[in-house]
Amino acid sequence: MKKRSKINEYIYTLAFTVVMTAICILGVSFAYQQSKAGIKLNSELFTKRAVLSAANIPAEGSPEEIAKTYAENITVSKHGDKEWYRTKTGDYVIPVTGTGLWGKIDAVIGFDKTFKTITGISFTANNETPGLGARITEKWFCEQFRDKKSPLSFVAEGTKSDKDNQFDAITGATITTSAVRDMVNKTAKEAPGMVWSGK
Amino acid sequence: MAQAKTKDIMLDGIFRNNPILIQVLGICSTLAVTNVLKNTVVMGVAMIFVCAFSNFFVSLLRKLIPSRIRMMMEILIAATGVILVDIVLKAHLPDVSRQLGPYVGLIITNCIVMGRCEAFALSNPPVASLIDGASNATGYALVLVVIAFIRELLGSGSVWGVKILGAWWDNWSIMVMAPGGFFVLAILLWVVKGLYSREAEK
Repeated sequence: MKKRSKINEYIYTLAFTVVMTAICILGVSFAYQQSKAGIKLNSELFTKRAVLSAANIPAEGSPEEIAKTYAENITVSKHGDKEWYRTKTGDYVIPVTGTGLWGKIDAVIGFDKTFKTITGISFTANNETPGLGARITEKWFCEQFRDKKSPLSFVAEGTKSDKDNQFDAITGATITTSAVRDMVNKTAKEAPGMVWSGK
Repeated sequence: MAQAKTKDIMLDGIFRNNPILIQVLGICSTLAVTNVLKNTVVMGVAMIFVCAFSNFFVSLLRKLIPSRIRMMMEILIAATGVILVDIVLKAHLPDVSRQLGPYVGLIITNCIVMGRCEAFALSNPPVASLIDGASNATGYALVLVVIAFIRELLGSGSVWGVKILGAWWDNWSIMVMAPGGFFVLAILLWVVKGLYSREAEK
Protein backbone atom coordinates (compact mmCIF):
# COMPACT_ATOMS: atom_id res chain seq x y z
CA MET A 1 0.00 0.00 0.00
CA LYS A 2 2.77 2.35 0.86
CA LYS A 3 4.53 1.78 -2.43
CA ARG A 4 1.89 3.19 -4.71
CA SER A 5 3.02 3.05 -8.29
CA LYS A 6 4.05 6.31 -9.90
CA ILE A 7 1.22 6.14 -12.42
CA ASN A 8 -1.35 5.75 -9.66
CA GLU A 9 0.14 8.70 -7.84
CA TYR A 10 -0.13 10.88 -10.91
CA ILE A 11 -3.72 9.85 -11.47
CA TYR A 12 -4.56 10.53 -7.83
CA THR A 13 -2.96 13.99 -8.00
CA LEU A 14 -4.79 14.84 -11.19
CA ALA A 15 -8.13 13.54 -9.95
CA PHE A 16 -7.72 15.34 -6.65
CA THR A 17 -7.01 18.64 -8.42
CA VAL A 18 -9.99 18.29 -10.72
CA VAL A 19 -12.40 17.35 -7.94
CA MET A 20 -11.21 20.12 -5.61
CA THR A 21 -11.41 22.74 -8.35
CA ALA A 22 -14.90 21.59 -9.29
CA ILE A 23 -16.07 21.78 -5.67
CA CYS A 24 -14.64 25.27 -5.21
CA ILE A 25 -16.14 26.54 -8.47
CA LEU A 26 -19.51 25.07 -7.55
CA GLY A 27 -19.42 26.77 -4.16
CA VAL A 28 -18.48 30.15 -5.63
CA SER A 29 -21.02 29.90 -8.46
CA PHE A 30 -23.75 29.01 -6.01
CA ALA A 31 -22.92 31.99 -3.79
CA TYR A 32 -22.83 34.25 -6.83
CA GLN A 33 -26.20 33.02 -8.13
CA GLN A 34 -27.68 33.54 -4.70
CA SER A 35 -26.61 37.16 -4.49
CA LYS A 36 -26.68 38.16 -8.15
CA ALA A 37 -30.05 39.88 -7.92
CA GLY A 38 -28.97 41.79 -4.81
CA ILE A 39 -25.74 42.95 -6.41
CA LYS A 40 -27.56 44.15 -9.54
CA LEU A 41 -30.15 45.96 -7.44
CA ASN A 42 -27.41 47.67 -5.43
CA SER A 43 -25.63 48.90 -8.51
CA GLU A 44 -28.84 50.16 -10.12
CA LEU A 45 -29.78 51.90 -6.92
CA PHE A 46 -26.36 53.50 -6.82
CA THR A 47 -26.80 54.91 -10.33
CA LYS A 48 -30.30 56.13 -9.56
CA ARG A 49 -29.13 57.92 -6.43
CA ALA A 50 -26.28 59.53 -8.38
CA VAL A 51 -28.57 60.76 -11.16
CA LEU A 52 -31.14 62.15 -8.71
CA SER A 53 -28.43 63.91 -6.76
CA ALA A 54 -26.98 65.46 -9.92
CA ALA A 55 -30.46 66.67 -10.89
CA ASN A 56 -30.83 68.21 -7.42
CA ILE A 57 -33.86 66.08 -6.58
CA PRO A 58 -33.76 64.98 -2.94
CA ALA A 59 -33.59 61.19 -2.69
CA GLU A 60 -33.81 59.90 0.84
CA GLY A 61 -35.23 56.83 2.46
CA SER A 62 -35.53 53.18 1.53
CA PRO A 63 -34.46 51.66 -1.79
CA GLU A 64 -38.12 51.42 -2.83
CA GLU A 65 -38.72 55.11 -2.16
CA ILE A 66 -35.64 56.09 -4.15
CA ALA A 67 -36.73 53.88 -7.04
CA LYS A 68 -40.16 55.51 -6.92
CA THR A 69 -38.76 59.05 -6.91
CA TYR A 70 -36.53 58.07 -9.80
CA ALA A 71 -39.36 56.59 -11.84
CA GLU A 72 -41.49 59.70 -11.25
CA ASN A 73 -38.81 62.19 -12.24
CA ILE A 74 -36.27 60.75 -14.62
CA THR A 75 -36.50 59.52 -18.18
CA VAL A 76 -33.69 58.37 -20.44
CA SER A 77 -33.22 60.62 -23.46
CA LYS A 78 -31.20 59.58 -26.47
CA HIS A 79 -28.89 62.04 -28.20
CA GLY A 80 -27.27 60.38 -31.17
CA ASP A 81 -25.58 57.33 -29.71
CA LYS A 82 -25.44 58.83 -26.24
CA GLU A 83 -27.88 58.18 -23.44
CA TRP A 84 -28.59 61.10 -21.17
CA TYR A 85 -31.11 61.44 -18.40
CA ARG A 86 -33.81 64.05 -18.43
CA THR A 87 -35.91 65.25 -15.53
CA LYS A 88 -39.57 66.05 -15.70
CA THR A 89 -38.73 69.77 -15.63
CA GLY A 90 -36.46 69.43 -18.65
CA ASP A 91 -33.07 69.49 -16.91
CA TYR A 92 -30.35 67.24 -18.29
CA VAL A 93 -28.12 64.79 -16.43
CA ILE A 94 -25.16 63.74 -18.54
CA PRO A 95 -22.80 60.81 -17.84
CA VAL A 96 -19.20 61.99 -18.32
CA THR A 97 -15.82 60.27 -18.16
CA GLY A 98 -12.64 62.18 -17.39
CA THR A 99 -8.99 61.37 -16.78
CA GLY A 100 -7.84 61.58 -13.19
CA LEU A 101 -4.44 60.89 -11.63
CA TRP A 102 -4.58 57.10 -11.59
CA GLY A 103 -7.35 56.30 -14.03
CA LYS A 104 -10.69 57.40 -15.32
CA ILE A 105 -13.27 59.27 -13.30
CA ASP A 106 -16.93 58.60 -14.05
CA ALA A 107 -19.49 61.18 -13.08
CA VAL A 108 -22.99 62.34 -13.86
CA ILE A 109 -23.34 66.10 -14.21
CA GLY A 110 -26.69 67.84 -14.13
CA PHE A 111 -27.50 71.01 -16.11
CA ASP A 112 -30.62 73.09 -16.43
CA LYS A 113 -32.26 72.94 -19.84
CA THR A 114 -30.30 75.92 -21.17
CA PHE A 115 -26.97 74.37 -20.07
CA LYS A 116 -26.09 77.63 -18.29
CA THR A 117 -26.40 76.46 -14.71
CA ILE A 118 -25.09 73.29 -13.09
CA THR A 119 -27.70 71.55 -10.99
CA GLY A 120 -25.28 69.11 -9.42
CA ILE A 121 -22.55 66.55 -9.84
CA SER A 122 -22.15 63.02 -8.56
CA PHE A 123 -19.19 60.70 -8.99
CA THR A 124 -19.98 57.12 -9.85
CA ALA A 125 -16.48 55.62 -10.17
CA ASN A 126 -12.89 56.71 -9.63
CA ASN A 127 -9.48 55.27 -8.82
CA GLU A 128 -8.08 58.37 -7.10
CA THR A 129 -5.91 58.25 -3.98
CA PRO A 130 -8.01 57.45 -0.90
CA GLY A 131 -7.91 60.41 1.46
CA LEU A 132 -6.77 62.79 -1.28
CA GLY A 133 -8.29 62.65 -4.78
CA ALA A 134 -10.94 60.18 -3.73
CA ARG A 135 -12.40 62.91 -1.51
CA ILE A 136 -14.24 64.18 -4.62
CA THR A 137 -17.04 61.85 -3.54
CA GLU A 138 -17.42 63.72 -0.23
CA LYS A 139 -20.68 65.57 0.19
CA TRP A 140 -19.28 69.08 0.62
CA PHE A 141 -17.30 68.78 -2.60
CA CYS A 142 -20.25 67.68 -4.73
CA GLU A 143 -22.74 70.07 -3.09
CA GLN A 144 -20.69 73.17 -3.89
CA PHE A 145 -21.34 72.75 -7.63
CA ARG A 146 -25.05 73.43 -7.33
CA ASP A 147 -26.15 76.59 -9.18
CA LYS A 148 -22.61 77.33 -10.37
CA LYS A 149 -22.00 78.54 -13.92
CA SER A 150 -19.39 77.23 -16.33
CA PRO A 151 -16.54 77.94 -17.11
CA LEU A 152 -15.46 77.11 -13.60
CA SER A 153 -12.11 77.65 -11.94
CA PHE A 154 -11.00 76.45 -8.52
CA VAL A 155 -9.67 78.19 -5.45
CA ALA A 156 -7.91 76.79 -2.36
CA GLU A 157 -9.82 74.36 -0.16
CA GLY A 158 -11.64 76.13 2.63
CA THR A 159 -12.14 79.43 0.73
CA LYS A 160 -15.85 78.65 0.45
CA SER A 161 -16.08 81.04 -2.49
CA ASP A 162 -19.53 82.48 -3.14
CA LYS A 163 -18.71 83.48 -6.72
CA ASP A 164 -20.82 81.43 -9.10
CA ASN A 165 -17.87 80.39 -11.28
CA GLN A 166 -15.52 79.16 -8.55
CA PHE A 167 -15.33 76.04 -6.47
CA ASP A 168 -13.06 74.86 -3.66
CA ALA A 169 -10.28 72.49 -4.69
CA ILE A 170 -9.05 69.55 -2.64
CA THR A 171 -5.68 70.17 -1.03
CA GLY A 172 -3.09 67.65 -2.21
CA ALA A 173 -5.23 66.57 -5.15
CA THR A 174 -4.63 69.28 -7.73
CA ILE A 175 -4.58 66.84 -10.65
CA THR A 176 -7.89 65.28 -9.63
CA THR A 177 -9.45 68.70 -9.03
CA SER A 178 -8.29 69.90 -12.45
CA ALA A 179 -9.75 66.79 -14.03
CA VAL A 180 -13.11 67.52 -12.43
CA ARG A 181 -12.97 71.15 -13.53
CA ASP A 182 -12.19 70.11 -17.12
CA MET A 183 -14.98 67.52 -17.13
CA VAL A 184 -17.56 70.11 -16.10
CA ASN A 185 -16.32 72.85 -18.41
CA LYS A 186 -15.97 70.58 -21.43
CA THR A 187 -19.44 69.14 -20.97
CA ALA A 188 -21.01 72.57 -20.52
CA LYS A 189 -19.33 73.73 -23.71
CA GLU A 190 -20.07 70.72 -25.89
CA ALA A 191 -23.40 69.44 -24.61
CA PRO A 192 -25.66 72.12 -26.18
CA GLY A 193 -24.34 71.15 -29.61
CA MET A 194 -25.09 67.50 -29.01
CA VAL A 195 -28.73 67.84 -28.08
CA TRP A 196 -30.73 65.73 -30.46
CA SER A 197 -34.09 67.41 -30.74
CA GLY A 198 -35.51 65.93 -33.94
CA LYS A 199 -36.04 62.29 -34.61
CA MET B 1 -4.82 20.75 28.82
CA ALA B 2 -6.55 21.40 25.52
CA GLN B 3 -7.62 24.76 26.85
CA ALA B 4 -4.06 25.80 27.67
CA LYS B 5 -3.03 24.92 24.14
CA THR B 6 -5.84 26.95 22.60
CA LYS B 7 -4.80 29.90 24.70
CA ASP B 8 -1.21 29.46 23.55
CA ILE B 9 -2.20 29.39 19.88
CA MET B 10 -4.25 32.55 20.31
CA LEU B 11 -1.59 34.43 22.24
CA ASP B 12 1.04 33.39 19.70
CA GLY B 13 -0.99 34.62 16.77
CA ILE B 14 -2.13 37.88 18.28
CA PHE B 15 0.88 38.98 20.33
CA ARG B 16 3.96 36.81 20.82
CA ASN B 17 4.35 35.90 17.18
CA ASN B 18 2.37 38.74 15.60
CA PRO B 19 2.45 38.29 11.82
CA ILE B 20 3.28 41.90 11.08
CA LEU B 21 5.35 43.08 14.01
CA ILE B 22 7.37 39.91 14.63
CA GLN B 23 7.21 37.84 11.46
CA VAL B 24 6.99 40.95 9.22
CA LEU B 25 4.55 39.28 6.81
CA GLY B 26 1.70 40.80 4.83
CA ILE B 27 3.27 44.24 4.69
CA CYS B 28 1.93 45.18 1.25
CA SER B 29 -1.71 45.37 2.24
CA THR B 30 -0.72 46.94 5.54
CA LEU B 31 0.58 49.90 3.59
CA ALA B 32 -2.23 50.03 1.06
CA VAL B 33 -5.45 49.99 3.07
CA THR B 34 -4.52 51.78 6.27
CA ASN B 35 -5.23 55.40 5.41
CA VAL B 36 -8.89 55.29 6.39
CA LEU B 37 -9.94 53.48 9.57
CA LYS B 38 -13.30 52.17 8.35
CA ASN B 39 -11.87 50.39 5.31
CA THR B 40 -9.13 48.95 7.47
CA VAL B 41 -11.61 47.37 9.87
CA VAL B 42 -13.58 45.78 7.02
CA MET B 43 -10.32 44.55 5.53
CA GLY B 44 -9.31 43.08 8.90
CA VAL B 45 -12.62 41.24 9.30
CA ALA B 46 -12.38 39.88 5.74
CA MET B 47 -8.84 38.74 6.46
CA ILE B 48 -9.89 36.96 9.67
CA PHE B 49 -12.58 35.09 7.75
CA VAL B 50 -10.32 34.10 4.85
CA CYS B 51 -7.46 33.02 7.07
CA ALA B 52 -9.65 30.92 9.37
CA PHE B 53 -11.55 29.47 6.39
CA SER B 54 -8.47 28.41 4.44
CA ASN B 55 -6.65 27.09 7.51
CA PHE B 56 -9.67 25.02 8.50
CA PHE B 57 -10.19 23.41 5.10
CA VAL B 58 -6.51 22.85 4.41
CA SER B 59 -6.23 21.12 7.76
CA LEU B 60 -9.35 19.06 7.08
CA LEU B 61 -7.87 17.83 3.81
CA ARG B 62 -4.25 17.69 4.97
CA LYS B 63 -4.03 13.90 4.79
CA LEU B 64 -5.61 13.78 1.33
CA ILE B 65 -3.73 16.57 -0.41
CA PRO B 66 -0.80 15.19 -2.44
CA SER B 67 2.23 17.06 -1.14
CA ARG B 68 3.50 18.14 -4.54
CA ILE B 69 0.39 20.17 -5.27
CA ARG B 70 -0.31 21.31 -1.71
CA MET B 71 0.47 24.97 -2.47
CA MET B 72 -1.91 25.02 -5.42
CA MET B 73 -4.62 23.57 -3.22
CA GLU B 74 -3.94 26.13 -0.49
CA ILE B 75 -4.28 28.96 -2.99
CA LEU B 76 -7.43 27.40 -4.44
CA ILE B 77 -9.08 27.19 -1.03
CA ALA B 78 -7.98 30.68 -0.02
CA ALA B 79 -9.22 32.09 -3.34
CA THR B 80 -12.62 30.53 -2.77
CA GLY B 81 -12.82 32.24 0.61
CA VAL B 82 -11.75 35.58 -0.86
CA ILE B 83 -14.36 35.45 -3.64
CA LEU B 84 -17.06 34.57 -1.10
CA VAL B 85 -16.10 37.64 0.96
CA ASP B 86 -16.10 39.80 -2.15
CA ILE B 87 -19.58 38.63 -3.16
CA VAL B 88 -20.97 39.16 0.34
CA LEU B 89 -19.51 42.69 0.49
CA LYS B 90 -20.90 43.56 -2.96
CA ALA B 91 -24.35 42.31 -2.02
CA HIS B 92 -24.63 43.71 1.49
CA LEU B 93 -22.10 46.52 1.91
CA PRO B 94 -21.92 48.02 -1.60
CA ASP B 95 -20.42 51.31 -0.44
CA VAL B 96 -17.57 49.74 1.48
CA SER B 97 -16.97 47.31 -1.34
CA ARG B 98 -16.70 50.20 -3.78
CA GLN B 99 -14.17 51.95 -1.57
CA LEU B 100 -11.99 48.92 -0.97
CA GLY B 101 -11.90 48.27 -4.69
CA PRO B 102 -9.32 45.65 -5.60
CA TYR B 103 -7.91 45.20 -2.11
CA VAL B 104 -10.37 42.51 -1.01
CA GLY B 105 -9.37 40.40 -3.99
CA LEU B 106 -5.75 41.00 -3.10
CA ILE B 107 -6.14 39.22 0.24
CA ILE B 108 -5.24 36.15 -1.75
CA THR B 109 -1.72 37.50 -2.22
CA ASN B 110 -1.31 38.07 1.50
CA CYS B 111 1.52 35.83 2.59
CA ILE B 112 -0.04 35.33 6.03
CA VAL B 113 -2.83 33.20 4.53
CA MET B 114 -0.52 30.75 2.82
CA GLY B 115 2.11 31.05 5.51
CA ARG B 116 -0.28 29.81 8.17
CA CYS B 117 -1.53 27.00 5.91
CA GLU B 118 2.03 25.83 5.35
CA ALA B 119 3.32 26.36 8.85
CA PHE B 120 0.34 25.26 10.90
CA ALA B 121 -2.66 23.80 9.10
CA LEU B 122 -0.72 21.07 7.31
CA SER B 123 0.39 19.51 10.59
CA ASN B 124 -2.46 20.29 12.99
CA PRO B 125 -6.12 19.29 13.43
CA PRO B 126 -8.89 21.46 11.91
CA VAL B 127 -10.18 23.23 15.02
CA ALA B 128 -6.72 24.22 16.22
CA SER B 129 -5.95 25.42 12.70
CA LEU B 130 -9.13 27.47 12.60
CA ILE B 131 -8.13 29.16 15.86
CA ASP B 132 -4.59 29.68 14.62
CA GLY B 133 -5.80 31.28 11.38
CA ALA B 134 -8.26 33.54 13.15
CA SER B 135 -5.69 34.55 15.79
CA ASN B 136 -2.99 35.40 13.29
CA ALA B 137 -5.40 37.41 11.20
CA THR B 138 -6.61 39.16 14.37
CA GLY B 139 -3.03 40.05 15.18
CA TYR B 140 -2.71 41.42 11.68
CA ALA B 141 -5.98 43.33 11.93
CA LEU B 142 -5.05 44.90 15.28
CA VAL B 143 -1.78 46.28 13.93
CA LEU B 144 -3.61 47.56 10.85
CA VAL B 145 -6.15 49.35 13.01
CA VAL B 146 -3.41 51.02 15.06
CA ILE B 147 -1.63 52.21 11.91
CA ALA B 148 -4.89 53.34 10.29
CA PHE B 149 -5.85 55.26 13.43
CA ILE B 150 -2.55 57.16 13.41
CA ARG B 151 -2.65 57.79 9.67
CA GLU B 152 -6.25 58.95 9.52
CA LEU B 153 -5.81 61.18 12.56
CA LEU B 154 -2.66 62.88 11.29
CA GLY B 155 -3.56 62.77 7.60
CA SER B 156 -7.20 63.82 7.68
CA GLY B 157 -7.68 65.06 11.24
CA SER B 158 -10.49 62.56 11.70
CA VAL B 159 -11.26 59.13 13.16
CA TRP B 160 -13.80 56.83 11.46
CA GLY B 161 -14.64 59.70 9.13
CA VAL B 162 -15.56 62.04 11.99
CA LYS B 163 -13.50 65.21 12.23
CA ILE B 164 -11.99 65.47 15.70
CA LEU B 165 -9.09 67.82 15.18
CA GLY B 166 -10.33 71.35 14.61
CA ALA B 167 -9.59 73.90 11.93
CA TRP B 168 -6.21 74.65 13.54
CA TRP B 169 -4.95 71.27 12.39
CA ASP B 170 -3.05 71.15 9.09
CA ASN B 171 -3.56 67.73 7.51
CA TRP B 172 -0.32 65.88 6.88
CA SER B 173 -1.07 64.85 3.32
CA ILE B 174 1.91 62.51 3.30
CA MET B 175 0.19 60.36 5.91
CA VAL B 176 -2.62 59.31 3.57
CA MET B 177 -0.19 58.51 0.78
CA ALA B 178 1.97 55.41 0.59
CA PRO B 179 5.06 56.91 2.32
CA GLY B 180 2.94 57.61 5.40
CA GLY B 181 2.28 53.90 5.70
CA PHE B 182 6.00 53.15 5.54
CA PHE B 183 6.82 55.71 8.21
CA VAL B 184 4.17 54.65 10.69
CA LEU B 185 4.85 50.94 10.21
CA ALA B 186 8.61 51.41 10.56
CA ILE B 187 8.26 53.45 13.74
CA LEU B 188 5.82 50.91 15.18
CA LEU B 189 8.19 48.04 14.34
CA TRP B 190 11.07 49.92 15.90
CA VAL B 191 9.20 50.56 19.15
CA VAL B 192 7.88 47.00 19.46
CA LYS B 193 11.17 45.33 18.59
CA GLY B 194 12.92 47.67 21.03
CA LEU B 195 10.59 46.68 23.84
CA TYR B 196 10.98 43.00 22.98
CA SER B 197 14.75 42.98 22.95
CA ARG B 198 14.87 44.91 26.21
CA GLU B 199 12.68 42.26 27.79
CA ALA B 200 14.84 39.48 26.33
CA GLU B 201 17.95 41.03 27.86
CA LYS B 202 16.50 40.92 31.35
